[in-house]
Parts: sequence; structure tokens; C-alpha cells
Amino acid sequence: MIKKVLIANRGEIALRVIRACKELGLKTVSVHSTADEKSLHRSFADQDVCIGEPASADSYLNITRIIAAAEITGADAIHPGYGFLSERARFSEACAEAGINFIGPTKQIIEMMGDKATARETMKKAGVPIIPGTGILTDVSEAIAVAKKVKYPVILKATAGGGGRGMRICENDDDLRKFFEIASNEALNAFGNAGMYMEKYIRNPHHIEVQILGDKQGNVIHLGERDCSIQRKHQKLIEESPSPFISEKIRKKIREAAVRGAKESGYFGAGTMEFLVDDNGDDFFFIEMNTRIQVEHTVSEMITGVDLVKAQIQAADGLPLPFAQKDLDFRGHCIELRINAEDPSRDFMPNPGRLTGFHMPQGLGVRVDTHCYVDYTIPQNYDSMIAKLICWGRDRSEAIARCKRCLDEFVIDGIKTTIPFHKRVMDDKTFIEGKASTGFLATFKF
Amino acid sequence: MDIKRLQALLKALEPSSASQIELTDKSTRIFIDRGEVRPVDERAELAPAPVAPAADAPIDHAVGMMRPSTQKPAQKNDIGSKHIGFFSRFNPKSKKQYFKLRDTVKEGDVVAIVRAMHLDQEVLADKSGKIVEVLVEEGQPVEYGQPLIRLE
Repeated sequence: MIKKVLIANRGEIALRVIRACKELGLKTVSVHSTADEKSLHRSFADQDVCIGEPASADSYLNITRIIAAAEITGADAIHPGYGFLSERARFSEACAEAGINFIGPTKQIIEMMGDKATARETMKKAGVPIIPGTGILTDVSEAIAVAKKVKYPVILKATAGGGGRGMRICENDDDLRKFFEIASNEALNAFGNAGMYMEKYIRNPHHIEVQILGDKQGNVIHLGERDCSIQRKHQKLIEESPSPFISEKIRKKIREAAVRGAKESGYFGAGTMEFLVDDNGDDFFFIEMNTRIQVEHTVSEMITGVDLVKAQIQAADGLPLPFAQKDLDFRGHCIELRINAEDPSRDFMPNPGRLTGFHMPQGLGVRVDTHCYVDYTIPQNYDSMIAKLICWGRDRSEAIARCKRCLDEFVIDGIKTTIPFHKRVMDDKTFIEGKASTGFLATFKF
Repeated sequence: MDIKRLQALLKALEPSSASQIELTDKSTRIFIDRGEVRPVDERAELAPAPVAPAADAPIDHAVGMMRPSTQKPAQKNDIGSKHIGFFSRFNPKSKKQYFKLRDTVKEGDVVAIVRAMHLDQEVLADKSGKIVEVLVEEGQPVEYGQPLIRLE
């Protein structure tokens, strides 16, 4: 049985995990770098260990130091939070070797989900739709034949690629003939590898993910989906549950598919299956699985009443899920707004510094997860997220009204934040109609 | 006998294994009984390894937001820990102490080890000087940056 949990993270998620441990009657150990001496997570844990210099590689990413900290404090479990070491297969393995319970999946599951090809195969086996595509293409005629089957538009990608190089969107046969060689040459020049593959291109997709929870006995349930379409450079800014975009039919299908996929991979604990939904809302495709707790887990907690971190710890401890799918009620609507120390009027430039004033919104249906306080100086070494404003309402329009009220009430002095950006989005027609796709920010004028 | 002389006397006795001593001055008679005494070097070996680090103290938020540090405050000429683990003054192979109090160490000398995950991580002197104080107990858990040994 787990008795003492070391939290290998910082900021609001470290506090979030400490809360769950305290309610379960478990002792806690925090770790911090020398840049985080004034961080709140140090104060709320039962014990605290300094693990190194500000650079993440010397502290929050240093497996040896974190496990040594668990050893000297007698912690028998480690919660990785999100980011940092949370999805490193080696960390899960190192914990197991040291006889420490890693609150997350095994090395094998992390590796399976981290490898795109294996993850796709696993999902295919479970009958979860994946984006149709090809292996390495031999010539353009092969590409044309596949494009006929999966229907245009398609996207050509370099196997060794990244950063958009060697990528071309094709609308018809002519485009494919024209671009195949150009893209292939571009890939050869950029990556020294001319290999190309092709996928169906999803225009203006919606990012919908399903929260799942499993135990070591093989039970898997879902806690509904989250719509995280409002993103900037793949960084989510607003998340909500349930999705205002998808139909009831797709909602049911996507939730069931997520449970099937997680069961097929033998998953336990908390995880997220991410999907793209096309702009017509007709089809959905698996993209990847996140094998950790996520920033936006809070919206699923608010509509189900389930404490996901507690559930994660209990699953790691080998306990069966205390409820079945049919026991879960989904109530109301919840929206999470990420408050970042960034200046939205200057292309979201990071804006660390000292908080000269800090007041959190309060009242019915309001939750703020933050590690900030008056006089706290946000270190420049880490993530710029400083608070999560989570508003619940009986329906979506009440949740939006509550978000607006809370944004007015939120006082953060001394630095620039994303609060003005969120205020504008809450009044945006596309957002209010629930139709925002991942392309939302490209056309949104701030 | 004034207090300074008494203190000097006690200090002079420290390395000795004498357990009792009696001194008679003109107007004073002093009798010191130290029970069973072992030399300093052996005493270190006998010190029980504390299980929980000193940081395991209740938090009193009334005195401020931050947990007060339980480490001895660092000074310029302290050798600090670059590792996390259990402190030892003894060479794990030879079982001998790396140093005695008032020894002089050179920069780069191994002065102690910090043990974790079955690994003995060496603590190197990052400056030269005479060792005047060991700031942690034998077997005590230490964290990154914690001052361990004070040089003169």
C-alpha cells in the first residue's frame, strides 16, 4: 500500500497532487530546484528536498536525483504530474527498479503509445478509426490510387520530416502529380531522406479528447470528452466539457472508441485519447494517447465529481475502480481558461516577473488552481502557465457568463497575462456558437 | 576558575578517551564524569542514521508563507552537497575516515560520500582549507546544495 508520495513536479500540478494525497491520508514529499525556493508546493508538502539547479535537466528532469530524493525521504510512490518526466518510459522503469510505485503506466505502455506506428496498429486492432494513410510511397501513381480511396484533400509528408518541410496539401490528381517530386526533393535536401507518405487531410479539424480511467483488473471507463480546439502552436488555451461541437451520435461513438482503445492496450490509471473530428462533425480519427494526467483534467472532474488524481493513485495501488460507467453522472458544463504569464498583444510573448497584486475570483461553480500569491516572482525557467480558471455552469451559456464574471474579478498585477485575450474570446461569435476549430486563432484578431 | 578556562579544558579533553577527571585548584574542585567515552573517530561510526530528514517538521504558516530552512545557514567557505542521499565521512572500501577535524584538505580531495540508490557519490572539496566543523551527522540525509563541511 502506498504511504508516502513524492511529487516530481512543480507549480499548480504539484499542489493539485498534494491535495489528493492529503485527502487519502498519504504523506507527501515535494522536490524543488534552486529557482523554486519560494514556490508554494514546498510549503504544503510534509517534506521537501532541493534537487538541483534551475535548468530542468539538472532538477525536474534528473531521474537519479528524484529517485535519490524518494530514497532519503522513504517515499514509496512517485507522481510525475504532467510535462517533465511524466511520459518518459525510462523514468517509469527506473522507479520500478528502485522498488517505487510509479503513479502512471508501465514502461511498456508508455513506449507503445509513444511510438506512432505501434499506437496506430493497437487502435486499428481495437476498431478505433485512425487517419487513413500509406506507408512509404514508391511513386506518384500509388499515391493517386490511395487518394481515390480515402478522398481528397490529402497531405504528403516526409517520413523523416518536421516543421512543415516536405509537406504539401493536395486537392486533386493534378496537385499530386505536381507536388510529389517537389516535396520529395525538399525532404531530400532538408533531411537527407526523400521518403514520402500520405495521409487524408482533415481541414479545420476540431480537437476532441476523451478522459479515460482504468484499473489493474482490466476495467476501463470514460469521463466524457473535452473540446480543446482553441490552441496556439499546439498549446491549448481553452478547454471545455462536454464538446459543444459534436452531435450526440458522434459523442457516444467517440467515448466508446476511447474505452475500446484503452482496453486493447491494457491501460490503467488516468489517460487521454486524442482525436481529430472533421469540420462537418461526421468523422473522427485517433491521433495519440497521453499517458498521464493532463492540465485540463479539471473540467472532467467538475462535470463528473470524480477526483482524477485520487483515482490515479488508487489505481496505481492496485485497487479496483470504485465505480462503474453506469454510476457516473454528467452534470452541466465546464470551461477552463489557462491564465499564462504572456502578453497576448505582443504575440503571446512570455512575461515573467513579480506579482505585485493577486486576487482570485470566487463564488458558486468557480475553481482556481494556481501556485501564485502576492509577491511571488514567476521564474523564467519554466512553463508560463500561472493559473487555471475553471468555471462550471448548469449549461454552457451559464458557464460562459461565469467565465466573464470571473475574468473581471481576477486581479493579477505586475505582469501581463492572457486574461484580456480570454475576455475577447468569451464574446466571440464563433466561440459562443461552439464552432471553433483548431484554426480559430489564425483568424482571431486580438 | 572562570568559564573560559572550563570550556578550554573540556575542549582539550574531547579527543581523549578518559572518562573521569578530577582537578583541584586553590579554591575550586572540579570533577568531570563523561560516562563511557570513545574517541571521536569511533563515535561518528556509532551515530544512528536518522530515518527522516530534518525537514519533516510541522509547518507554521503564521510565521510566513515559506517553510523555513532546516539546514545550517551556508557560509562562503563551506563545502556543499552536489548530490542527494545519505552522508558519510567514511571511505566505503577502507572503512577509514576521509579526514579528521583540523585536517587540511586541498581542492579536489574527496572529503565524504553521499550514498543513494546503492551508489557512493564522492563529495569533493571545491576549495582548500582546514576543516573546522562537520555540519551534518553521520548517516544524515542531505539535499542538493546543503552545506556539509566548514573550512577555516
